[in-house]
Amino acid sequence: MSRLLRANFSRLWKTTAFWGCMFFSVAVPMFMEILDGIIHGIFVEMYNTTPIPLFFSAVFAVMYIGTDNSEGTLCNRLIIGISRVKIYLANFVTVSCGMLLIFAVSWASRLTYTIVRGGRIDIKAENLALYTVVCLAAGAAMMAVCTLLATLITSRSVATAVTISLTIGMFAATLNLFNFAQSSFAAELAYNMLPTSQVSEIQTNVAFMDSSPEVFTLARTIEPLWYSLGACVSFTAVGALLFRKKNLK
Amino acid sequence: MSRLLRANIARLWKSRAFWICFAAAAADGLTRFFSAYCGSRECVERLGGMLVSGGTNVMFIASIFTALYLGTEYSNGTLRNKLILGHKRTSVYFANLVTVLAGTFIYAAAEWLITLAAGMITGGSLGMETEEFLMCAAVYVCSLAALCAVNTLIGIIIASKSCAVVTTLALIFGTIIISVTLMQLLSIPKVAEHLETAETGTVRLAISSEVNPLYIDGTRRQVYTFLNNVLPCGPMCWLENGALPEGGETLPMYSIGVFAVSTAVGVPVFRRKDLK
Repeated sequence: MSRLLRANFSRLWKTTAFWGCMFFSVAVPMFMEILDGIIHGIFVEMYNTTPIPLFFSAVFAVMYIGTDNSEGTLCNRLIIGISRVKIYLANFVTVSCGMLLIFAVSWASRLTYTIVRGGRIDIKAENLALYTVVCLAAGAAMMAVCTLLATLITSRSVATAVTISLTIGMFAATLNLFNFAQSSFAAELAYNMLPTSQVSEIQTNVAFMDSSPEVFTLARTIEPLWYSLGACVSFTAVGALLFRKKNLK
Repeated sequence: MSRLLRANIARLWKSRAFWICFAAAAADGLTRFFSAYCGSRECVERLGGMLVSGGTNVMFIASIFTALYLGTEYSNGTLRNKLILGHKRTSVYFANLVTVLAGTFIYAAAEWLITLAAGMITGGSLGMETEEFLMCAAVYVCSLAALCAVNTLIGIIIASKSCAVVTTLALIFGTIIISVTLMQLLSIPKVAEHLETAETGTVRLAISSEVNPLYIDGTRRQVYTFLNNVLPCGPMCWLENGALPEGGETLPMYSIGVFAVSTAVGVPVFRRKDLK
């Protein structure tokens, strides 16, 4: 497993998709900030555009894992005797670390920009840590979904189209499921399991925070964390099982 | 050129990506109608607005189809074979552009027909003046054509199918976000309204005498308006509200301009491209 991870990480630094997605996850929020022209506090600036690094992390994950299929790296690994579960988990760990780096660089750029432009520091350290953990947990759940799709769909282009469509579909479903979640347990469970719903909750909190800094509930933020971790474990377990049985032709 | 078109259209009918995207467009039309119908039964009285407001979804589906269809030409070696047989690169480019336009308008037609059929069954009507509807339809068609030209440019230049898919989808997603942001900024009113209480105790809406500090005017407004009109999704985002903005009659001209520029750039770039 350690050799797999070493090989994966050395490939990660050389992957154009990784650096491209990192660039866009910094550039797009910055461009929107320039259009907007208003400097908010650090809390809003850092977390209001969380869907953007989440989206680009999904793109990076599917492009990275898809290359394994298309270049024959996956076949070579199986031929030398590495188990399928280890390959799957190594890929998941690698893309999760890539996601972490993309988020870190995106947030660091937003933080630097806000401090340089004189934005107010309106968040306590423990709240900053909590929101960061929730975002990263949602990101990990998204990486679990992307790893499942990219590993099971052999064609890289089809996997990319499906993953991007699914990611955008998840964002749209989040908006629709929110209304039904109050009245139906199934809808509530589906809503909470979606990685995009956690990000959407954070954006809702950001909107409240910007207008009224005192309106902030910790309990509402911690609960989604368990759903994200549950989704992460579930999708990883299902993906590893399906990959073991997949006919790689 | 006619042979190229015949071959492209024949391949189109056999393309799995085309039929999957066709099903998605039809399903989208049905879903949008029933979603609106469940929200309010009176929506069938404004079928015209519903028809023209689904353009961004069609753009999204068309982008996936274009990237997969044109990317297959590179991966299968079809493009190389066409050039070996002596077809000019310009002819190949235009044949692909026409095919992509055909596919996109088939999706738009499928969505419109499904929505119209569902609306007629439930006793709906257009709900708009004919002239207004035709103007909206012209904006809709020209925006789709502009997007097809941009997607063809990207699909022809990028050899990797997956990179083309990512680029076209990211372009659509990004331009929608930018257009929505620009529309929000341009919609900020010039004078702010606020509630005030009169001496008699009644509350009324009053208009401030001072200019709203957030209002965008001057050169910045002109730049934002131009940018929003030029982006492929900009006019479509206006139509999402079911009607055109003030001065919206000029929007088709911007789309035609984008179409012409994209094609004018794409043809020479493709002619010089090293196909390895």
